[in-house]
Amino acid sequence: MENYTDEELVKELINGNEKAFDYLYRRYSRKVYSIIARITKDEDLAEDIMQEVFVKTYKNIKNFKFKSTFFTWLYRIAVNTALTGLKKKSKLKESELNQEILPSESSPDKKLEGEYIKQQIEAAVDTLPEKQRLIFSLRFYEDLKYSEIAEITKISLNACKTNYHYATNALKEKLGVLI
Amino acid sequence: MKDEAFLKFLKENKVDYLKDKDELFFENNLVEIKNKIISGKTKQNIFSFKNLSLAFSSLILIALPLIMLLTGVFSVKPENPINKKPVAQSLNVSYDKAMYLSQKNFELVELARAGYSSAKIELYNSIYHDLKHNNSFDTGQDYSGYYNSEESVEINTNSKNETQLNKLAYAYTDLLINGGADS
Repeated sequence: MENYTDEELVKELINGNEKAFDYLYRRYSRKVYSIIARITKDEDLAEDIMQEVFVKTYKNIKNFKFKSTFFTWLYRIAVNTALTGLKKKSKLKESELNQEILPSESSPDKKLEGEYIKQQIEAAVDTLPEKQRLIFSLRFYEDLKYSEIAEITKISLNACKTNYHYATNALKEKLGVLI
Repeated sequence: MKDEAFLKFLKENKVDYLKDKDELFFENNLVEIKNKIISGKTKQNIFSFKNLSLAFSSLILIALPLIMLLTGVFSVKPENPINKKPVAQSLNVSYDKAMYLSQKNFELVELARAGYSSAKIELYNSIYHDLKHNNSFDTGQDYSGYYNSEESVEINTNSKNETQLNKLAYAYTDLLINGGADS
């Protein structure tokens, strides 16, 4: 089954061959975990959500109508479940989200400089509006095509491109001082 | 700085969430996922009508109507069904696409109808959030039918200001709870 396409594996699973689920899981678990972790920024929560996503996938596989690719369908479940998980967690207040990112006045330790920059980038991405943050993460970090992002998020292709453009500009403005 | 250089800088400094996740982590997760799936199936089987003993079924069949009569269940008025039509009309979307409400929202509507004001507020917040951030209602993550639909309701709220969004969310909340009676 290693060489089966996604579609073939899904058909096998629908027909009761549960081995197919293992193959689908092994094919996509890393990607799914990565995007969930990037949305939630909480590895424990991401672990729980990843399990929930695959349980949902298994339970709903018979509802998959092959109108989209399995990959975008799975990602859509992952993104929706991650956003719900994030909403439930909801530790970040609106005011915190809107805070400007200001570089620390004291220069960071050289050894920690790399980590410092990463943190600043993560914090800047966090300040983006939800839609921009999601589209930016899917496009920039997960290397998805605009057409795939549109399918996953159900946002129009043009809106995806515009949101990505706005997100990039906003980040450039916020992080320009670091470069 | 050019966009390309800036994006290269971001790429070089991205957090790698998979860095500490080895094969074992994912295999352990697969085991846990399978356990959850199996426990879900077991739960279904336990409560499956087929698996009830004949004696227990008979007892239920005889006793249940009696209990319902005694407790007055039959006298309860049917609940006001969620009226999707005015919602669809007010938002200018087709009736059958009016909404794929999440299970959570359904529960909130029920609680709000039962008089819990906090449920009404939460429902309003949920709708407002969806209108503002997603331009759609169907967060629907916990509603299994949602994945069957493979489509969502797009409402163009980009052009609407805060006041209009507030009004829309409030009207929608009211329509769901009161079936549009007060609007």
